[in-house]
Amino acid sequence: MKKVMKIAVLILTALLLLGCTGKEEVKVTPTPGAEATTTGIEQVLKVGAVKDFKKATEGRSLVFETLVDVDRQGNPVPLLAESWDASDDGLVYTIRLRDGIKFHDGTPFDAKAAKFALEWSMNNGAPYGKYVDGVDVVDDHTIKVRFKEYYYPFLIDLASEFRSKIVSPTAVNPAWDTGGKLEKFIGTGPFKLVEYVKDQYAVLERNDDYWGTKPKLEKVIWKTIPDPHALVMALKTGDVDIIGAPEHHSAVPYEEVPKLQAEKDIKVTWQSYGRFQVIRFNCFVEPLDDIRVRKAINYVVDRETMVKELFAGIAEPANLPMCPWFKYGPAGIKGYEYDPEKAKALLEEAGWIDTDGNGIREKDGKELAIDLLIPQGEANADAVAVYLQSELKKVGIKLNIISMESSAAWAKKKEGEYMMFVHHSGCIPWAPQGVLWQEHYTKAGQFKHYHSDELDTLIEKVYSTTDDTKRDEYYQQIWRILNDEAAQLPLYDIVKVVAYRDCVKGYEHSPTMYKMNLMNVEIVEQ
Amino acid sequence: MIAKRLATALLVMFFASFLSFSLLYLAPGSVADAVLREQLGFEPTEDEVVAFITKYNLDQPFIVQYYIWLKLFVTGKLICPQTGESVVDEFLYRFPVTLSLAFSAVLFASCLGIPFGVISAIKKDSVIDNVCRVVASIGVSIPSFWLALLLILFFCVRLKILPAFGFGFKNMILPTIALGFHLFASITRVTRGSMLEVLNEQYILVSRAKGLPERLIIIRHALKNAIIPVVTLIGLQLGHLLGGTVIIESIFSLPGIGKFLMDSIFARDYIAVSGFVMFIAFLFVIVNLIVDVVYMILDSRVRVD
Repeated sequence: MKKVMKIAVLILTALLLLGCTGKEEVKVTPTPGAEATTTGIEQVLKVGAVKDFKKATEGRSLVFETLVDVDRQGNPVPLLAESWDASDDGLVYTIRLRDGIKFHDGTPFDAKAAKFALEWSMNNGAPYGKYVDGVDVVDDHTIKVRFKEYYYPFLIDLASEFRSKIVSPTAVNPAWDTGGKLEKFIGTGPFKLVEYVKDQYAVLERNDDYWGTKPKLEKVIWKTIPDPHALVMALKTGDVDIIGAPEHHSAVPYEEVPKLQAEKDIKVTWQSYGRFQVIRFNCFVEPLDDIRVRKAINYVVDRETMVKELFAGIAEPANLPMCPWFKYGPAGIKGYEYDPEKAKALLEEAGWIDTDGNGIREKDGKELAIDLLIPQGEANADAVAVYLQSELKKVGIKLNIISMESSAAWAKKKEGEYMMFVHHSGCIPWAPQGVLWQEHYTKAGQFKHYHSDELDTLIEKVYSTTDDTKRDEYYQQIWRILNDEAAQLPLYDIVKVVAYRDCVKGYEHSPTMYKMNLMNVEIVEQ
Repeated sequence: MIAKRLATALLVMFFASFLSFSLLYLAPGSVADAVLREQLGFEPTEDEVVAFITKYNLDQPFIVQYYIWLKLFVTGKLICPQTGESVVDEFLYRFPVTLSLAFSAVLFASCLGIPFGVISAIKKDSVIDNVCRVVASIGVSIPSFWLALLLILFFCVRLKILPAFGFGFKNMILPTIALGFHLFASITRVTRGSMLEVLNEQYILVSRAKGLPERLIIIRHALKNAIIPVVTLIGLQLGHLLGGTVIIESIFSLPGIGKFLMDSIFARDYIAVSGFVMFIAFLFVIVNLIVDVVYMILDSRVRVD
């Protein structure tokens, strides 16, 4: 009997543990006194996201805003700042702030608060920090930022939520301390954070005192679902209303798109952000140190067919090193078109000939074999790699696919221990200036897959000139070099796919990848 | 005896954490790069990387880093580079999730597996026995993530009777089944084998000769002895189970330590990983203690020691 008692006690404690742990499902109650929409339907949007709300810049951007925003091409446009001027030498920026804006807790957003937010950002690693001499309050709504050295991407960096979000001085601890830690999510954005459970969900409510056009939604519920397949299923069950919007790299796998399109109550839409999947050639190892081989590979890939076969036409082919419709993007430059005969001719000219008839070319006893390094998690890379392997084989190139865990692959990229690396060309606001710096500027540390003194000089000129027209000229010269040298293999435009239930109306893709545009979204009868 | 156990626990904890610290430290890849790239969505500038590295002492020599880590851990001030929050807080937030998941999986597996195994053994070679054996074979072969997705598809998408995500009582049903199914199948097989062996023992014959009711023989005499290998099995499979929580937590979006550890390893966050390993090592020692105590309850021969 004693033993049975012991076992019974064990089981009871187990059940108690089970019952006590865990939180209740998020119950959505309508806000009392909320304005009824024409249809009387609760304006609550459930967003399915791969990352935790506080860790995702798309989430934080609902609460925090920046002084400046960027448009689709990468031009800075006003947001919290109304207008700005830069001195001729670019060392003084005078920024005029919008009037009448308050933070979510009522703290006024004025020049003092703006100065605080910028200084706090600089203490947290904002890149312009080391170039800035000081920030001055000119009057209640004007600040001046003084530079020690001209820093061309300043306005672009101001548009990045991660680097320059405007936090309320009362949101850090201790308050008004530029070295303080961000503890409360108090910003100026269209939504307020009202509830947050780490790695599970966050509840946001409309900011009724928002300075701009108020969103139609009353509540946004952000649900964290890390697995992409589970995410898709959550959309199908209606546990979430929209997926793919909060991720800058497509969280909706392309192969799910046709299946989702077939569902009658789900809509699928996609948008290009000019971000190309680009394979970087290590131009300093054999055989890629030979420009003819690099050009040949560019000629041998049939991008149109690849996109059609692999992605059912969701993505567009791309053959330029940078998106042409970006500000400063390549203009009037022609990329490589599909021409397998030219590819073969180039390889022959380079001395790579298939002497033993095994289908792979040789030279000086060595096979024309190239390793393709893929960091795991890179969108569609596996499918693309296999496709490339078969295409390259047709002209006698052997492609070895090496799929490696992400951190290890990136370590190899940094050291230059690769031949071909699956990467991308970046999007606004990182491209084009950040990409150039990272991938080609030799004085920026790390291995550069293609570099030259000429390129270094041009990049320095891009950064140091205050003349925008000249800057564009320098950029064009850079694109011409990268294209002529076939330093990379551009493949296709990695579009962002968003899928939502048909009760969601008014969803528009945001101009840039790192934000979610929910301003016109409303919930209608399904 | 308890004192000796605790001393062993401390030794195991420090050794395990030192091992994980060094292994992840040596692995190629940089936590600064991984974390910043994740947060920014694009490449960080070298200044941002340097600021991160300095903040978390990642540029110090290995022994200095370990010493700093140890000091911070012992005083409870260890910060996780991935999230900027205290490692202890992260662990305490996520641990109950994984604990309840693992616990319910074990409970599910035993409450179902043991009866299945017993019935299978008693009715050896009957239809019921064969069905149980087939189910058990399928159970050990099914990958848990596949089962998880199948369960979601069936119960959430088609039937719509269970919620797919979140953390609450109803939410634990499917993850428990997905995680525990493998163990349930193993327990069934082991129980069956063990019962068959025990039922052939002399003392069972004696009990039958004494005229005891069959049910009493099965439950009080046979099962008690047959269960010992099952307890061993559960103890051995616990590590495997904890590993399985990684994928289940990911699919069902449960904020447990499994997924966090996986993410930390991919990000090369040896600071957080070693902290978690300390706690987990401690737990393993405790679990071993509990298993030994359970042995003592079940098998009076052990008590003599």
